[in-house]
Amino acid sequence: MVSINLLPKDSAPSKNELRFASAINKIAMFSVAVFLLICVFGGGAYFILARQLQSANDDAQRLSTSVQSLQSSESSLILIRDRVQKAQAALNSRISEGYFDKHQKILSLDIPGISFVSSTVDSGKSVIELEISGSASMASLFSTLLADSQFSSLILEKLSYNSLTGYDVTLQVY
Amino acid sequence: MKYNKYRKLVLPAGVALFMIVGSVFLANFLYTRITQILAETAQQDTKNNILEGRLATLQALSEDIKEGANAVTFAIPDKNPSVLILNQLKSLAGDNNILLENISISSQPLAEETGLVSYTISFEAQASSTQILIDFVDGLSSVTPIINISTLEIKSGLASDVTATLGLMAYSAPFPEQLPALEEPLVGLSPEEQSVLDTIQTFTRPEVFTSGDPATQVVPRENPFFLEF
Repeated sequence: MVSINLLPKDSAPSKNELRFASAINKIAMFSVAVFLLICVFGGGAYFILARQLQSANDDAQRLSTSVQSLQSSESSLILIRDRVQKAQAALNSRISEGYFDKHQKILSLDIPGISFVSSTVDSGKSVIELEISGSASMASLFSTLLADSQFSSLILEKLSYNSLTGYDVTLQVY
Repeated sequence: MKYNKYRKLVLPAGVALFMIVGSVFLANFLYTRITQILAETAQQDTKNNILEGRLATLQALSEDIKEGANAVTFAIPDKNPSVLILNQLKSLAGDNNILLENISISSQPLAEETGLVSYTISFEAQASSTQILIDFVDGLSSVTPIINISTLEIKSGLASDVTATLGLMAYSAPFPEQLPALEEPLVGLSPEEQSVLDTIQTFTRPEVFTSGDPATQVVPRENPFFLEF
């Protein structure tokens, strides 16, 4: 069959025009494809992520409910932590007790001829006064105290002698 | 005539333009929303992790936690502990046959960072021997409310009796008023805190208050920590 073109020759598109029209068509098809891809993948991702967020929110709700059901345990824990910190501060400031323990240690040595007279303790002072009947007892006391590493400092504050009662010894004990 | 040649291109060009503009707007919209959702999900996951940690910590707490709370409440009460201290002194003195005299109590605020209010209790004690008095003073360090010896002077008398003048310090501090926010992590007691708690639990509590659980005696509770003796 013979192809007959009745249109005038100058109205026929040129090669460049045909190429341009083809390019426009390709761009149109490509942009539609891109739009569809964005719709499919973007929309899909949006849907999936929105579900994940919803799931995370549901988890948070469930966990919050569980935590709130244990509120009494939580308040006990917070209370214990608060009180323990304050108790620790109070216990750490026990200085006199440490001095008094050292006085007790001296009294518990049970050396014959030594008797207790007085004990004075405060945060900066630790003094014990003893009556010692003879020099042998006194030597025994001092040798024992000097050998004991529990006493970091022993200061002989006063030493006097009375023929009736023996030695009167006042010691600063730290 | 010439423009008729391009009439067929108007539709594909219009579609292309619409799709390109539409794609840009849609992509921008989805990108913004997805970024926002990802950020919200990440934030929610972080909160959930904290909540899970908090829940695990609370579930791991033993039933003894209530007993621990009871013990520390006696150790550092929220109000003036003088009545409890007097109860303990009376009890200790009774156990050791000691006579207490000239008891006086005063209170003074301590350093603010510790939140403690201290109370000075002074009195004189008389016993028949030094050892009895020593046992009495020793006993003071293992009772609740916590008592610290401020000053102590023991003197043996001419007779066999021994007298002591004591200045003691006791403490109180207001209870915490609120629980930490759910978003804040919660951990159990550290070994040091557990050690202090164990020590406090060995202390002797005032006798008249040990039979009941003070935590269950107050209705309504003003806050979760409000425990009244």
